[in-house]
Amino acid sequence: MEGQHKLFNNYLRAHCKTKLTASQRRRLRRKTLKSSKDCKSKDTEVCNGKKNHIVPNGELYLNVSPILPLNIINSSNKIVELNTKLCDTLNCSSPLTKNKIVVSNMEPSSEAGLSLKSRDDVKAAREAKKLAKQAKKKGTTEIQTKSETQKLTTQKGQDLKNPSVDEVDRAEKENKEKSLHMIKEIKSKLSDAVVHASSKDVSNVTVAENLTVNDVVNTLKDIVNVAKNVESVTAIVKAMDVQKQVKNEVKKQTINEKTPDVGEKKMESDGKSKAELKAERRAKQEAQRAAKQAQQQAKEVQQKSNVKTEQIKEPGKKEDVAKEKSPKPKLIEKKVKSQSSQKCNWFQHLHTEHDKEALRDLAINSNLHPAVIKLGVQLASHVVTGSNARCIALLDALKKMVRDYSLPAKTEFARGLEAQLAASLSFLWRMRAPSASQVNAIKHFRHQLTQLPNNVDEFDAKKKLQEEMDRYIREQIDMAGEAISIAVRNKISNGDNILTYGCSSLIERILRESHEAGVQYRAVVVGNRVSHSAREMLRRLIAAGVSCSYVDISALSFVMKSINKVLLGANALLVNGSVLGAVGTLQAALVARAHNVPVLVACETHKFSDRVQTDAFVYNEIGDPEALIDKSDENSLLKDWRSNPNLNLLNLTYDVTPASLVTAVVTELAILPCTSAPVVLRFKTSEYGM
Amino acid sequence: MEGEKENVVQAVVIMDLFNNNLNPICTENPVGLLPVAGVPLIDYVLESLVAGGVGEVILFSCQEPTKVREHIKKCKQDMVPWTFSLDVQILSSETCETMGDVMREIDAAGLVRGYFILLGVNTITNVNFAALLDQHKQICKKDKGAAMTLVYKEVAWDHPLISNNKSVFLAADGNTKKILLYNTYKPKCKDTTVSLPLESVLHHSEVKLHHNLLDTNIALCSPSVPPLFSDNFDFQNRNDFIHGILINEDILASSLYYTKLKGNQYASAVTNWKTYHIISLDILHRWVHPLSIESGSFYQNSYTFMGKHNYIKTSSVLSRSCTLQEDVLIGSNTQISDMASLTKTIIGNNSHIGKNVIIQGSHIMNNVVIKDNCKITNSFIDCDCIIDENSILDGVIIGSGAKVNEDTKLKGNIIEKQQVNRTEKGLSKSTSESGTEWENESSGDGDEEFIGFEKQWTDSESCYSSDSSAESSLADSPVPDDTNIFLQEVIDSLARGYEEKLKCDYLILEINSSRYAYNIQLHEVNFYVVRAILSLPTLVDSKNVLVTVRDVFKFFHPVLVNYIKTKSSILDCLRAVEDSCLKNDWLNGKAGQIIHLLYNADVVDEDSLLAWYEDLKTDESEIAQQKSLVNFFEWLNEASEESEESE
Amino acid sequence: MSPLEGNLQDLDEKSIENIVKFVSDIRTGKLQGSNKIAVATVTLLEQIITDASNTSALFLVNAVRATGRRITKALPHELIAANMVRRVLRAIRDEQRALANQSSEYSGDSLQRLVLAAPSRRATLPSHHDLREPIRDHIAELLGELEASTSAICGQAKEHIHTDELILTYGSSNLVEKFLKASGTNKPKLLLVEGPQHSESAAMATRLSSQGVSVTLVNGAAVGALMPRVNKVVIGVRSTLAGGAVLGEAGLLAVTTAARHYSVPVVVLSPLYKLSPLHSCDHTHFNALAPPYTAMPYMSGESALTQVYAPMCDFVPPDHVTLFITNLGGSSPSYIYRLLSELYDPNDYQI
Repeated sequence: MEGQHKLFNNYLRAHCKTKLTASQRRRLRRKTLKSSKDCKSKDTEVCNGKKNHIVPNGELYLNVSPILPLNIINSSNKIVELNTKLCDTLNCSSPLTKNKIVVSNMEPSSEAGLSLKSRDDVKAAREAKKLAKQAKKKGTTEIQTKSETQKLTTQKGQDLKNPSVDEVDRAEKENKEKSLHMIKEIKSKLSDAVVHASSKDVSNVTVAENLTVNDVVNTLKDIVNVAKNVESVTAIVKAMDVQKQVKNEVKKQTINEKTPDVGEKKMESDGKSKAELKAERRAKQEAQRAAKQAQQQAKEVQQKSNVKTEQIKEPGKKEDVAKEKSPKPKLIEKKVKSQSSQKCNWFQHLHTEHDKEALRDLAINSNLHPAVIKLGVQLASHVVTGSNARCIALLDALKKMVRDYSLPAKTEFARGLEAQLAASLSFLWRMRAPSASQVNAIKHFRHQLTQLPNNVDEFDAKKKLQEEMDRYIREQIDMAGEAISIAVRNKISNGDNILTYGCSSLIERILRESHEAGVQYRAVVVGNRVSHSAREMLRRLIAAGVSCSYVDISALSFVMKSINKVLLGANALLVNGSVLGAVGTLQAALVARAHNVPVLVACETHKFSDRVQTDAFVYNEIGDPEALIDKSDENSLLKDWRSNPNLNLLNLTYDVTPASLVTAVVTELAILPCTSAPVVLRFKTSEYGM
Repeated sequence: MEGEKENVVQAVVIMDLFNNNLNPICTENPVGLLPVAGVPLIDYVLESLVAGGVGEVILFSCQEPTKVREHIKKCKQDMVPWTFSLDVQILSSETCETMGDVMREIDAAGLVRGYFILLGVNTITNVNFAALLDQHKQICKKDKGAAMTLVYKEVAWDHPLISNNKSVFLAADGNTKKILLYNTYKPKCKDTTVSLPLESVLHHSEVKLHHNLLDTNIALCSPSVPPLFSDNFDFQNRNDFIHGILINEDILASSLYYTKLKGNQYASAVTNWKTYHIISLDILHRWVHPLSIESGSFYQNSYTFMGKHNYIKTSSVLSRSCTLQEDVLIGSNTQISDMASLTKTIIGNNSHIGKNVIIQGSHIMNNVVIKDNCKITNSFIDCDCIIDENSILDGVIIGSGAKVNEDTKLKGNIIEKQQVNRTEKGLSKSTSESGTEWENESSGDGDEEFIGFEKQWTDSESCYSSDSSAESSLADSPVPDDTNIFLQEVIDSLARGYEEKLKCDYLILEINSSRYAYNIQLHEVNFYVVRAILSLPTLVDSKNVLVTVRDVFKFFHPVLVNYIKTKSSILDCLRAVEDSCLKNDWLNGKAGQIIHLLYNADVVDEDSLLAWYEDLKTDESEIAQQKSLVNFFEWLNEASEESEESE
Repeated sequence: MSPLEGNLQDLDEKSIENIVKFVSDIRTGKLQGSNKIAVATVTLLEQIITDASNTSALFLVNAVRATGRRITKALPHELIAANMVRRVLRAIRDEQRALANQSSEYSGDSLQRLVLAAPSRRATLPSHHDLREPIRDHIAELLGELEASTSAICGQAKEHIHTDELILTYGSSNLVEKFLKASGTNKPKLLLVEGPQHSESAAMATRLSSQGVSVTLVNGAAVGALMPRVNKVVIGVRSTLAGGAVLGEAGLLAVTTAARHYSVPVVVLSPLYKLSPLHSCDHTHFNALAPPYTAMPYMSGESALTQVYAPMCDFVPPDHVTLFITNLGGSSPSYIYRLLSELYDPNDYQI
């Protein structure tokens, strides 16, 4: 009974918020009274929530319904154009998914059966946290995406010239009618939902209500975030459009400039299946409704109806989310290729690694561990580089994942974790292709996983795995590094000039430690203009007190006369003995050979890869071409290189140094000739199962 | 060239720094002739001006203009390239003591036709002046009031040129590059706060704050600048000008702008010995291309490159066993003997370096002879000096013609030829610790040394009397702290009083007035008065110090008794004596006698003396061991005992 | 170094002034581009010859040589200017020789020349014969050659570039640019490796691409990785030394080394005026340090604490070069000496 009163008070409060007309107010009061009445009348049935007493509520609902569609309609309109905006701004997916998740965690909480309540609460909380994190990440990645967005828009601009207007219109039309029909079906859904809902017990309701509060807060937060993103990005996009307009000489105002955009977007999304479209829209609707509901949470009826509808859609949506992600990268792939095909066609086959685009469709698949997602972003945005760093970061993320992994009921630990692992790896590899070190680490991890006995206790398993990973890092990277640094130190004698190229944590360690060991030598750091890694290396060495010289790679042959040894780092040592190193390594080795200077490659054995590669074309990563543009001078001629079909900037990441150019490779095991890589690999397979 | 006078770019070069940061080397010679990496500053400036498209230059020299004239004439004779495309006017006025005066002179002479470039002779750059000036004209089109565009070079905050210079903090409108706030800080100063007036943020859509700008001492000026100077007589130097403009911008109806140089353009200003060193290395490293160690001469390839930035004149003679580690420049006809090792060192012409000499980070001018086994680090040795065997110099600045005897160990002092007039004496005295900024040069730290160095510089009264403090802020040294100015003033007034035998009461009055002017605590006054008396110039160059001290004391007795009454004041006095005996080299070892004189003059009494002596011994200061002092106190004890016995 | 060391002073004020102007123009970068410099040198010499007081061959030779000395001392790295001096000297000597042995081929010459020659027939040594007229003709020829050299080289483009092949070039060179444009119909793909002056390379890339050549701009580091695909390396040089060695933009040696390793032919475009009869054996000859901001900006704090090198040019040994393309067509490195002996008089190898 007092439940009724609370209900009514909330309900009034809500209406002070959303100022409703007096008539509505009257109507609503009537409604509540009614509901209270039949709550009284059909007390017992309500308690055990039978579904056959709904008839009167049906007509009760009828006079509620006019309000609901109202705010849904205008909301949905808002939604539609909001989404079109989002679609423009390339990172539409993430806000959407956010909304979805928001909704999805509305579901358990508000549905709160007496039994489930506590667990759902926890879930909701966790979800909320995750959301917050992702929102933040979005915020950061936004900035990075800018230039990327430009890229895409310009591309769009290029293939945009063809889509004829009618297409566009069609797109919009179907968009509209879709949304309308959505609204209809939602109405219907609501109706039966309400039916279910009203059958709920009152106490139950109160519980549900005070449970929803925190969710509501989350929802509001997220919605705000989404709004922010939308605004910022649309701003960018507008700017882009203006530029594009100039470029393509499309004589239109920005307004009807935008519409083709939308249309084009639709084209894209039409590529996807109708089901997905639907899923998307539903998601949008629900997101919006979540917002509404936040405003007028007192309307238990409506809220519960939400609950029901969501219950219905929930299962469908989950894999939609998954599906929605998968096609996107393909799309990008296509575009990039189509663009690069006319340009440097001999790199078509390469996985064009456009980090920022990868960030764009950041799959915030709710079952990925935040640490993994974080790592993914770091990899894609080249925050974490260098094969050692990447390997360690990966293991660290995995460790976190394992720690927080909650084993679903009656699944074998190894299996469950394997699934989780596969998901996160597929995500990570899409962010950036794995380095040999990472691959090996994963192999090792899987190996350990398979080693676990089937009936192992979850806790022990986790503990064991984590220890295993720690051991891997310690032995494979840290101690190996130490061993190598000692080995190389003995090869550096006083008064030497040691030339090194690029930045390698291992080389830096070697040089630093041999300086601390009191060897008097001079380090000559060679770098190139595009990647500033070498300068970073220089900075570290100077900080360590090593006396350094720095030359650009163009001065390589100038300094090489005075060099005693060349010391190079490697990303991977391939099984045919050739060294996969940062681009330019080959150059250094070549010139060194031309001047008969010994070339030492320092490489821990965990970087040995079982791949074979004879040139830098079969496998490579295309870095960000923009890096070739000189940032310092604002009127660089390369600024608008994309508009010029004949001009192409190529920024390779790796090159392959054949074994013939390398004097020896220094590993923790021994100083070996490159050609003995397979032996090492075999040995390691026996020991580490990699 | 005469035809289109209007579009010939004009530049005004001020040939003096109006401060004594580069003393004593630049006391006789004008700064313009100070060689940096073997080439006089003026040559760099003129060549860069020509390369930068400047057609007409006005050299304004206040110090030794004749030497400048000669130099220019000489350049014309051996046809240095710039002489053909540049017409040089040399103005001179001995009266000018500040940059402000110079600007007023220029305004009076009406030599500047329109927009012009104002730079100091200590600027070394390879910028395109003409382009910069056009930029400034563009700004002026937008804003009629634009008076000056300051040119800055952006470098990393940890760049030595920043840390050893007066760091500039600048707040400007992000869009228009109009300067809103301008502060300069002492080098390595501690204060980390920046006060930014709120309206400067509120009234502008975007405000840029710069803390890593390097003052290049180049300014692009509108025609309105010289009049501004002549209108406001308190504008002593560029900083005054800037501050003045910024403070009452609306009154003067003029505004300031700034511009940053592009990545590959170099510009910096030699402001003190450290920057001098850094910049000469930059020149060796060819950052200043096309300016180089061979600028100012028509024929090149007179140097041979030895790798690692070692350059030697073809006519120089190196022994087989000597090692040039890096960044070494050796002039013509210079001999380097066996086993000598040089690093980051620049050696002039006709010098001779003995065997096993180790030289690091030093600058050695022409005709210098360094005998065997010397070790010289972070020092500057001017022409015609002779360093005898086994002497170890660290952070020493040696004026021309000086001679260092065998086995001398010098650390951070300044040595000059003996026949130099008083002011430089005062200088060399007061800068006796200044060299410490050299020794910490290699190791990055040494803040307090550096600030000490600053203090020493500024309170050292140079020939540009009271202006020096203001002036020195033009180039490099901060506003001095009051106590030092106070001390200096007291010294001055006392000196004057002593010379003109004024009545001590007046002196006391003067001292008090200046005391209140700089609000000095009483005990500080006592301290500084005695300190001042003991560091009177008359003492410095007197043959028999003690006699003069006695006379001085006799003369200033009224002053002393006036200040030294209470126990505490007596202790102050004694501490002053101790201090000056430590600081002033002409007094060392004479502490006892001085105390004795004071004692006889009844300025100090036994008990406090003994107490003070105890203190000395407890916190063993080196004068406690001084023979004279020990004798004195023995004598004192005996005396007291006798007196007791007599009773 | 040579018997004429003594009479360096016989240049009058005016010509010295001209020389100084010329030198400072080059130093301050007002005068850039090898061809322009060559032309400027020749015109300078012509000027000096024209207002020479005495017109005897000996005097003219001395005057020109003196000029040459001054220029080479002032601009030790401008080999081209020296070459031009040698060419002019050669012209004077030829004239003098022709005059000395008054042989029959003069009868067939122009009337004017006969008239001029008449007095000298009586004279035993042809010193006080006004040689300036014929010398001017020579100089005019020389200038004509300088004009034509670029087009002459570009004319051969089609012979060396076949359809749709991948050309790699290094740094930026107007000559190479024109050469590739001239290759016209059989569209080469260009792989432009940016040199130390990356902005110039970028400019060249944009220019070429706007003219329809498909250009891929890469950083110097990627040369090794890309070389296996390249069909030819086409480069312009600063100057060609006797014996077929080459002075080129810094970093060129690394490129040619890679080319050699993958045995990709290296074609050097070198007009005749770049051939200089000097020998060099290591990379420090005719070399100097360029400003190091091509390697690292000054603003970075490290720059003060390290030694940053950026050489002006690279020395490429003859065995790295497959073919030289001069105005007269292709020739192998081993043949350069022959061309030299045709261009210059052996006495002038040392100015």
